[in-house]
Amino acid sequence: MASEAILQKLSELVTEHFTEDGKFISPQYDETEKLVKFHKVALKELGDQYLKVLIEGKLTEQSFYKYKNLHVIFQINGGNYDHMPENYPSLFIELVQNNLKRNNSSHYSRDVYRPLIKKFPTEEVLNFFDDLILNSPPYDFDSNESLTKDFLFKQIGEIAVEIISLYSKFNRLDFDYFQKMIANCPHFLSSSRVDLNETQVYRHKEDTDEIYEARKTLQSYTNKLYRVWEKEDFSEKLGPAFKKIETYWGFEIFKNACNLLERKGRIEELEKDEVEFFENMLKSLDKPDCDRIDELQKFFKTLKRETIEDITPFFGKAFYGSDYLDIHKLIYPILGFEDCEKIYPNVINYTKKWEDWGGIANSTDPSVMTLTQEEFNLAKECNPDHLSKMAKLYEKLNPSMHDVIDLFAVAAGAPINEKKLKSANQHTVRKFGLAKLENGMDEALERYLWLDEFLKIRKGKSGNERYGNEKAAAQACKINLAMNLGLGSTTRLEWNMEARLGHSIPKEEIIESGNYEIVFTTKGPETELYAANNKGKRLKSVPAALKKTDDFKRLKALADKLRDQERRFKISIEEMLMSGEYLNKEELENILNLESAAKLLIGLVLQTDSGQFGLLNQDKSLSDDKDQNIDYKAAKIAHSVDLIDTNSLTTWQRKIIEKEIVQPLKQVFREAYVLTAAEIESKDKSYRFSRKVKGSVFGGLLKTRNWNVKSSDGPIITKQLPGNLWARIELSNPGHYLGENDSEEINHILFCDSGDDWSYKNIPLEEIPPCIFSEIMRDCDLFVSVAGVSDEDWVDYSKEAFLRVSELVMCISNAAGLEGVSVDGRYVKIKGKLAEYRIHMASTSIHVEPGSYLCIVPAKAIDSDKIYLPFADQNNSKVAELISKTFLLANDEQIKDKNILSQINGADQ
Amino acid sequence: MTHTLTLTFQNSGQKTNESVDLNIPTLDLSAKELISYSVINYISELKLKQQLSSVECLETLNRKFLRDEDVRAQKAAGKVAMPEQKKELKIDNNKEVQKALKAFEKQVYFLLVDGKQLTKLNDKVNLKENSKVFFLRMVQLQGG
Repeated sequence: MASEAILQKLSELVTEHFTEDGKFISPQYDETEKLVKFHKVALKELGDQYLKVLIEGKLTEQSFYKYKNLHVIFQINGGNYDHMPENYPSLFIELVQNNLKRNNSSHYSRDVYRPLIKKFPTEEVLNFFDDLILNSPPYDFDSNESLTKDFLFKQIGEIAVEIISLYSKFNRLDFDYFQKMIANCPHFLSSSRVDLNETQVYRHKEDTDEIYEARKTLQSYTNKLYRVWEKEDFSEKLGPAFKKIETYWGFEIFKNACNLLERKGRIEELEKDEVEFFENMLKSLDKPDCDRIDELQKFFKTLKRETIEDITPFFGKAFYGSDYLDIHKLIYPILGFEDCEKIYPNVINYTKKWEDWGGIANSTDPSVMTLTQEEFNLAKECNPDHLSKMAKLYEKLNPSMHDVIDLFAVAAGAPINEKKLKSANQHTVRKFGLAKLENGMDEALERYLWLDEFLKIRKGKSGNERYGNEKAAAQACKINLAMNLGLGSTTRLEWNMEARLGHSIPKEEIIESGNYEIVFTTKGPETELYAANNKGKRLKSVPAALKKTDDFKRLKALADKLRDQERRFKISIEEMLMSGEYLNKEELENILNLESAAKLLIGLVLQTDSGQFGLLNQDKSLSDDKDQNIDYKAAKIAHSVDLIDTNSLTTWQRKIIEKEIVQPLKQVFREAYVLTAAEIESKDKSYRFSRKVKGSVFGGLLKTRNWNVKSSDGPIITKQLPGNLWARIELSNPGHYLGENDSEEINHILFCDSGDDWSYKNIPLEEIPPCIFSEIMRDCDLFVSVAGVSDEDWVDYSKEAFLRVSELVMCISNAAGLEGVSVDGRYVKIKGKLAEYRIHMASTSIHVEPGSYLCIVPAKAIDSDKIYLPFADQNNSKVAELISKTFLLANDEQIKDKNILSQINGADQ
Repeated sequence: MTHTLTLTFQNSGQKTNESVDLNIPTLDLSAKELISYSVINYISELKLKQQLSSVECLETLNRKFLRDEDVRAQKAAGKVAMPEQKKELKIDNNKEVQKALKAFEKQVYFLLVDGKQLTKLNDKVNLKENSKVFFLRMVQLQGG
């Protein structure tokens, strides 16, 4: 066939089998399989000419571009090259050379090269690689972005062992030659991990004797080469080649890197690529090396302090995220930073977390660059000067880690950069909250007011996005300030600050404005702002003209602020109810000066530090159940669980009713949940609310109760609780995210020590503070009662349940005169006319004796329309299914369903 | 004269055996009549049970607080809270009877009296004081 005719024919085949963008038509299954099919068709139609066309690369102009040329040949043969003609290597080499000239790289993968050597281990093939390795670049790599020398050599590097075996076969390799090869193609080393301690070479399962020998040769030449190199200066001669290697391994490499660095001077004097090189080298410590801690320690002592300072930042970079944290324990004492060791895990944790979130600069997340109370206290135990020096070490090479350590340094007492604060540097604003307070509360108040001022100024100066970040920075500063004062939350900070400011807010203000009155009042349970006519009658809406007046604007801003405060204070009080946090008398009295906080506290029952309960009265006094005043040093908001524990729930419920008090939040009548016997027995999981819930409704409710839902492999539902506690709701067989399935099944609730997706430790339910336990169960009760899907099937069968079902089946069988029905353990056994069967009582799956599975399923779901009759199955559809199957199989001679019959007969044979 | 027939049915769940008293004018009935009486009795029993629990609930709600014995009893069950008053059941007896009869004809359930299956609405049955009556919900099955 003439070559044009072949191309024409191929073109037709391509049109028939491929879409325009080169994909197979309906490629939903295995593409390789389809390619083989196509190849066979093409071979049949065109014979060897087809291969020639492919190899010559003439199809590149066709729509066949995706699988063009040789890759196809490899793919269609599933890598076995069985259909390849004898002259394939020549053709292949010709093709590669053609394609290199054409700058076409897409198919030079090691997957093509490797089988080539395997199938055609000829000198011709060796010459081809030899030429590539030693004489490159004969091609213009730089003219094509997709084909670089690096790319091609990386692929060759991956099959270094195979190529070495070919050299060995033709006795063309010695160490000198190897050195030459590496000088030009350092990638050749990348497939072997250079471990200078290892004398044994691992034999891979698929290694032939030749390949294993080649592997040993590569390892021994690499080691030898390294010994040569370590005496020389890396930055010259062989250095650039060595830097290409991506994988180093082992203590020896690490040691040599440190020594080399010491010879070269300080790291800041090195070129960028040299720094990268050292980074790779210094990362080479493997976990087993960390076990050789004594050896490492001795080694570090031989180094200069400067060298240790230089290598320190690499550890943070190399080891965070893994468990090799012990290295810093060796380094910090040498640098004299022992006191800072304790914050290292937190530093690593934050560095990783903040980097995962895309860096800590200019975040809209106010929790970024804030510390918890525990972390703040920990930082206080460190020497600020040490932390600052430590931070400095990381500044250039690991800026994220630098920022985190610097944050701890400020918390420890290091000064902040005033200039940066003035120029509204967001990091500095965030850190400002942690800075040392020389004058306690007074200074805190100044800082609190400075933040308001800061935002006012920035609002005028910054664009929307920047202002959003600055708002978050200010909020972060507040969080940090609260920790600095030991207040634990921004709300308590706000209570204290606002109360200290003593802004007197009028209970009511009525301003006449034209024919209207503007009424502002905080007398009721909520702050209100409305317009009234001149007779004092409240209007439905505020007239537009009134809205423009300065008085209205002022009162509206005030009302908004109060409403916002009320909302946040309410959340905070509920949190305090759960955490059982004590407020000292002075702080409490101070807070009560703040109208919006007082409104939420007066009328609540408090428990004093001596355990007495008392009602917080309008006059801010605390009185017991006999109306006698109680004195106290500190008090917390009592939880109904506390009242139950002390048998005083009835007393206080009565008291609240008698005094006709409307409590600002559901307190003495709050539902209380206590551990049940089953929960004590199950230790760390509560199955109390194991029920199906509607996914979308459930998702909404979780949000209202401040649960956090993450979609990973499945939804991860957690809630952070006081005292480093977390609650988790575990679902049975969840979808990828909530709402993917119509309904989800809550399996159990547990408490654990971390909010991490996978790594957490369960905490026994008995160790959970009772108020926290109660509140979490209260959330879950809400979820199942609002989002619950009625499902009367049992989740699991207890022994007792099996017994009841078996009694029921026997009772019905006897009553219905079903013959051959009996119960054996968890199975209903039936002697039918065609066969003998057993049905599992819980799953209702059927086996034909002795063992084959019989698949019988409900034709449609049971009619869900409720019928008011005392059904024997008690509206449990699984039991109904069991009974129905029993009836069916006890009368198996009447079965007409062919599917069932063929299964029974099949099992018989 | 009214006969009271106690239909005992085994509860498949965790609770104890339950029974429904069937008040019928005569022991000779058709399947249609038996189903109708069963539905009406079942509903009235259900309403009665609910009323009883709501009386208890109302008492507490009127008192407005939980007594110590309430707290103790509730504590054992794991939740201490003021009871919630449930809405009164509104069920139309006639409608429900018709629904149950239709379902019987569609073989949504079987009716078994003393080992004999009734298949038509006008099948006659002669009940005795110790008769065993079963309503069996049926699931339509097929080979998978």
